[in-house]
Order: sequence, then C-alpha cells, then structure tokens
Amino acid sequence: MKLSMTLNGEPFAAEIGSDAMLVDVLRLNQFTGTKEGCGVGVCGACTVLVNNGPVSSCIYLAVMAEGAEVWTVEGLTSKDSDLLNAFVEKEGMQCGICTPGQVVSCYALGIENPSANEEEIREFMAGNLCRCTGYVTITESVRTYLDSK
Amino acid sequence: MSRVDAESKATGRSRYVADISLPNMVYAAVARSTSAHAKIKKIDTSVAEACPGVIGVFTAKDISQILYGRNLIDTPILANEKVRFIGERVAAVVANSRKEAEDAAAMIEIDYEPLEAVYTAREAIKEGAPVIHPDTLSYKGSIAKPENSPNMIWLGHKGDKLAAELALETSAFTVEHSYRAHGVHQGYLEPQACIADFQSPENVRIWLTNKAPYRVRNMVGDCLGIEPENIVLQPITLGGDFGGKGSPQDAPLCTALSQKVGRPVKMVLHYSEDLTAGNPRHAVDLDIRLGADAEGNLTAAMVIGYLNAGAYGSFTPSAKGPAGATQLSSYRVPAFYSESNRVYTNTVPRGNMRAPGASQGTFAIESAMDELAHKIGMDPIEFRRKNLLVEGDKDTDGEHWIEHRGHEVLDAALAAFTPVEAPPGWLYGRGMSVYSRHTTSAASTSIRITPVDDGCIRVETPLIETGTGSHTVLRQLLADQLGMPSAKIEVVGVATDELPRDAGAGGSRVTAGLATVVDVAAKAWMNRLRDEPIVAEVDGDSGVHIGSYIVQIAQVAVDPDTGQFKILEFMNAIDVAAIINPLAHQMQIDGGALMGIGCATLENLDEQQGQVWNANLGEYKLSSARDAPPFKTVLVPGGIGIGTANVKNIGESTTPPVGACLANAIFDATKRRIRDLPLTAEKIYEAMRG
Repeated sequence: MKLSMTLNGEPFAAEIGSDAMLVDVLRLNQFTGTKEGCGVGVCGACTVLVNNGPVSSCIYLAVMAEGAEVWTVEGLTSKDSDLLNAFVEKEGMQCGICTPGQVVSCYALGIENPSANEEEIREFMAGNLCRCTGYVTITESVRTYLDSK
Repeated sequence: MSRVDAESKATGRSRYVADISLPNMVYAAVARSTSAHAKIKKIDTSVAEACPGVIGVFTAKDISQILYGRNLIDTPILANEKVRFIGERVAAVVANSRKEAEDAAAMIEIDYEPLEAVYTAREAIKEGAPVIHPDTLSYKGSIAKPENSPNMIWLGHKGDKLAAELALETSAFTVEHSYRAHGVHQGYLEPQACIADFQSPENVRIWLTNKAPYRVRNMVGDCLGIEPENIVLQPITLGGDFGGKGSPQDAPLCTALSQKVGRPVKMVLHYSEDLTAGNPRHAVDLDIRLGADAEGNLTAAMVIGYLNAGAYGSFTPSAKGPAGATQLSSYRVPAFYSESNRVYTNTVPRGNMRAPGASQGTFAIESAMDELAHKIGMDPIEFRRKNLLVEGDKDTDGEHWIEHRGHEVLDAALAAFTPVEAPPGWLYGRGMSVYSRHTTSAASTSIRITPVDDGCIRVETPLIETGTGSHTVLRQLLADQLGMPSAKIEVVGVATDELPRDAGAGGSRVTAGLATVVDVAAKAWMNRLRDEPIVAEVDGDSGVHIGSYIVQIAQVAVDPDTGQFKILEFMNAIDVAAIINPLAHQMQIDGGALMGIGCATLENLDEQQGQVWNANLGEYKLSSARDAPPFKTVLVPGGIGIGTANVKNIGESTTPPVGACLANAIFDATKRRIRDLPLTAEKIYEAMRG
C-alpha cells in the first residue's frame, strides 16, 4: 500500500507493507537518524514527532502516519539551531544512540511546556532512556533549549 | 570546544552498524534453542527454505565447526549435536530482507531430546550434576583440572586457607554470611549487530558492534581458517559498551554466511535476543567470613565465590576471570583466603560488565564490613577508617601500591556530607561503601598524524569511540602536546588495515593509553624532517600501576508501610590526579553510579529454568531520568597518575560499590539486612514484617 505524509516539511511517499512500523519506513528511506533500541516502545531511541506529538516509531504503524506531518531528528535539528546547539554545548550525550530520541522529545517539550521546571523536564523525558550519562547533561541540554525559547 | 562527535550524534548523522547498507546486501536471522540442555535429534529446514525471499538455510554441518572464543575456545558458531542454553543459535536463514529472514527462521523445526539441565553454579559443581561440556579439558585455552567437577571452568585460590580459618577461630568478633549478586545485562541501547562481506579469503570486511576490532579479527580468522590480516574491521560508531561489546558475537556466523551466499550479510539482533543470547554479567553467590580483634582491627577474611558462567566460557578475557568477584582491595587483612569457582550452567553465556566481577564482590564485602562493624559495636565508618590500607601496606594480593589515599577520600566525603531530610513518616538511613580500583599503565594502540591544509592536522585512530569521549580526549591531548588549537585537529576512526594495533577500550585504561601514544607521536611530529604523515605506536606496560579510592555515601528514605525507598542523595568522593576533560570525567562518575543504582535496585535478568522471563526492556527496567537521584561529587585532587598526562582511571570506579552502599543505607533505616540483589521494596517489606 502507499503511504503519503509530510516528512521534515517535504512531501514524502513510499510503498509500504500494512504491518510496517514507521521506524522501518524511515530507516529504509535513508532517515537513519531515528534509531531502534528496544523495539517495544520503551527506550525512546526511535522517538519522532507526529503532528507535533512525540511517538515511539518502533510501535507506531506507518499507515497511521497517512496524511500526517512527521518530523525526525534530521529535520528538527536543521530547522531549529537552538535545539542542536543546546545538546552540543551541554554535551547531552555519550554513545549517542539515544540522542536523536532525546533531541526530538526535547523539541516536543518545547511545544508542550516551554516553562517546564527540573522535575517536569525529568518527568517528560523519562520515556527516553540513556545508559551512559546519568542524565545530568541531558537534563541541562533540555533546560538550555527551553531557556532559548 | 564540545565533543568531536557532538554535532553528528545530535543530528543523527553518526553511522552505527545498523545504519549501514552495502550494495547487494542480504539479511540473516537465526533459529534459537528453546531447550536449556538437549541433543538435537533433527532439524527440518524444508519449510523455511520454501519461504519467500529465502536464499539459503544453514546448520552446523554446512559451515565451519571450529570453535571460537577469546582465551577459552569453547563456542560453536551454530550448535552442533547439542544445545546448552535457551537462545543458542541452532540454524541460520539468509534472505532478501530482515523480515523474510526472521519469518523463515521461525519455520525451522528442531526436534530435541531433552537432557537434564542445571542452572546455578552451586548446583552445577555437585556430584552427579549433568555434565554440560563432556570435553572441557580438551578445549583450546582450557585451564580446567581433571580432579574438579567437569562443569568447573576454573577453580582458583589465593592465600592460605588454614591460616585464615585459624585466625577466624581465634578472632574476638566474626561474621559469616552468604550474599547473592544477580545477573544483569550491560543495558547498552544499541542491540548487537554485524555486517560481513566475504569477497575472498584474502578480502573480508566486517562492521561489528564491538570495541576491540583487532581481537575480533583474530577470533574470526581462527575459527574460519582466514588469515587475520585479511579480515578488515571497519570503523563504526558504537552505541554503548560497558563491557558487553567485547566479544565477537555473531561475526563468525555472518562471515561464514557471507562466504556461503557470496554477498554481504547483515544481522541485527532484536533487544529480546540480546537479553537472551548476549553476554550479561556473571551471577555470583558469595560466602563471606570476616574476623576482627577486640579493638576492631581486621584479622582475617575468607571469600568463596560461585560464579555462574553460563553455557560457554569464551567471552571473558581470562578463563580465570572475572577476578573482581573475590577481591578485597581496600583493607589490611593479615590472613586472607579466596576461592573462585567459575562454573558452566545451562544459562546465557556470561561476559564482562564494567569492572568485571567487582560489582558482585564489592556488594558482598562491603555489606559484610558493615555487618562486622555493627557486631563489634563500632561505627561502620570508623571501622573502615581503622582498616583502610596505608602507605607501606600490602593488599590481599601481596602488592604494594604507589600510594593509598583511602583516608583522604573518606575525610573529604565526610566533610562534604550534609544530611537531607526524609519525607514525613519515612525512615531515614545513611550508608557507606568503599572501593579501590587499580589499573596498569599497559597501553597498546597506534595513531597516524597527517598534515592537511592551513596548518591543520588529521589524526587517524583505530580506537573505537564507545561513547566515553575517547576521541575528544585524543584531540585534547594532542592539542596540549603539539601546542595547537583543538579546532585545527580532526580525529578520524579508521579500519584495522590502516594502522598496526589497538587493544580495545577496557580496564579503565583508555585515557592513559592515549596519553602514552600521544607522547610518542608528539616527539615524532616535532622531529619530522618533511611535512609527511607520522605513525606512532605503543605496545607494552611501563610498569607503573596506580590506584584510585572511591567512597560513596547514600542517603535513603524508606516507607515503613510499603518498603518503598528513595535515594535522597548519592555522593561519590573520588581520588583523582589530572583530569583531561572534566565533563567527560563527570559523566563517567554519574553514569557509572546510576548504572550501579539501576543494577542494584531495578534490573534483574530473571532466569527461570534457564529461560529469561523478562526479555524486553519493558520488563527489564533501566533507570530513567526520573529514577536518577540527586548526585553529589567530591573530587580529591593530588593523586599520582600514569604518565606525563598524570591520569587516573575513572570509567569503572563508581559502579561496583553502589549495591552495598544502598544495602547499608537501607539497614541503617530499617535495621534489616538484604543480602541478595536486587534491593526491592518487596524484599524490604518482607524483611520489616519478618
């Protein structure tokens, strides 16, 4: 079947299987910035924005994105330099496998609650696991991004 | 300047193994054993072969049956005649897509004749236990002894048993307890993945989620009969390691399959496969006896460890390892005896995890130290202070170290301590734990410096950046040594055929190793006659072994009605020398401690009859940002480090002492001792009721 959506601000169409997950469609079409970690919607590495809300694309059927506006880490960091700068400046990463998901969730928090306090940041970002950092620099990156808005 | 890889990671441009596609590439998936211990009676691949997109289905008889491993060579590429754990690779499918390969693999029918299985180390060495490897003694690299149980990979002793027993019998105070440190997974968020491209026996390329590419080259070469130099490991970005990305995993299989089908073969594990067939840490049962005299001086210690090594022993660096499980590294012990029983069982094969063995061993030792202090009637802090090693002391291995800064770190921790209030109605507790990690100056790596335009240089390294910031540290060390701005230095990861060597990230030695090779490189660069590339390499040990003490203090609150507990504050006080990159150093401290907290409180590789029951990250819980407690760090500068860069180890320092630190704090709050990890609300509740 055919999927048509807006991806990172551009029209996007692909032939997909009815059971294809959005993460697979993105990655097969060279958008490999979106990572697959746990595959069961828990770790958040595959987070993308669908109609301005964060979703775990590893458990999000691609057909559900029909007609939707989808943004991945590639698109968000290229249109919002404050988002990229916050993570680069505060080094909100180590191995980087969770980073695209953290970046997308951070952007989503900026839409939902730009004045979030420390506790609200940690609550919102709890769906994006990181095994490396202990979360201090990631939380600081999010804080820096929200402050820039 | 930020990390060398900050922008590429934050934009999603960094390329991990799963992100790479080669022309003409096909996909592999495996059928895994559903039996913990069985003879394979029959494998029917006919249905799988007829599935759409399938290129071939392969079993052990189709490929090399030479075993592989790191030191102990005991692991088959595909199970041959027998399976030894649930999750073992039995047959492989190569197909045009990952989905087709996986669908076909599910159609492979395997008939088993079940054998009696054994799941714990203590059970497996009992007389009459089922024998998992009948030919243990004949394996290459085996250090098993015929007089021991056939399931015993290695039985090691240290010290004098009789002297320790005698000292314990005559001690004024003794404690004797059993502790259990459970199995946990390293929890990297990038599942294991491999691409192998076998062009000819002279030309094999591999992309692998692995931090030690030269070692993989040798292991794959040995089991497939390929000259290691003809296998080229490609540079990759690694999505977390923590000790779990040091084994070749599926590289031998993918290489064999690529040879069979004549095309590049890619295999990416699902996380559930990683949890059931990766290489998690050893579960360790420990029997501890400690003794002290009337004044609170330690008199003797006996540490007997039973290490569950799982079905294969090939993934730990030494068949004798992981040594940390039975070490007692921080105290003066006149009579010491330790015994390490490393044992095959019908469970997931074990590997290394951040400070191998030390998290398990330190949980037991530092819990027992607290228990002995209470028995004597001493403050556990003062008891530790009295027994910490000082200048001139030798440790339980008989080694003298260049310095002992345990007391300075302990004093700094106490000076920085401020109590945090527990919520109303909750019980407050404070716990402490001490660990000292020693490291060597052994360095084996190489770099090439090439001049490029505008006074810039390009630095090539085969060292895999595991996420710690090693490539950034390399740039900083070079900038310092060459007196040039970091902005003029580009660091590039290169394949194994570009440079002669790299031992791989591990042993908390990466920064020290890089500093050593940068010293050599800087001299060669300054003395070069023409503007041409220089290669610098180091391979050896300057003989300097240094140590670093860490003291942790946890403050907890326990809900007396439910057993639920919160960490109010977690302090890491650490002995340091020079710090090259303060932020990367801090992330090792925080990340290591949070990993320890997760392992001690949330994570548990829940194996029942050899089956991992929680084989997904929904049930196998890793700490989230919400679970992380407030951290406090106390750095105690002035220590002696390695080399001209004067650096100490940090990567493996903060994980091992966490379990005991929390158990001691929970005891302080509840007067109940939990001796088996993980520390859960249920256990605390039961203990308070009991």
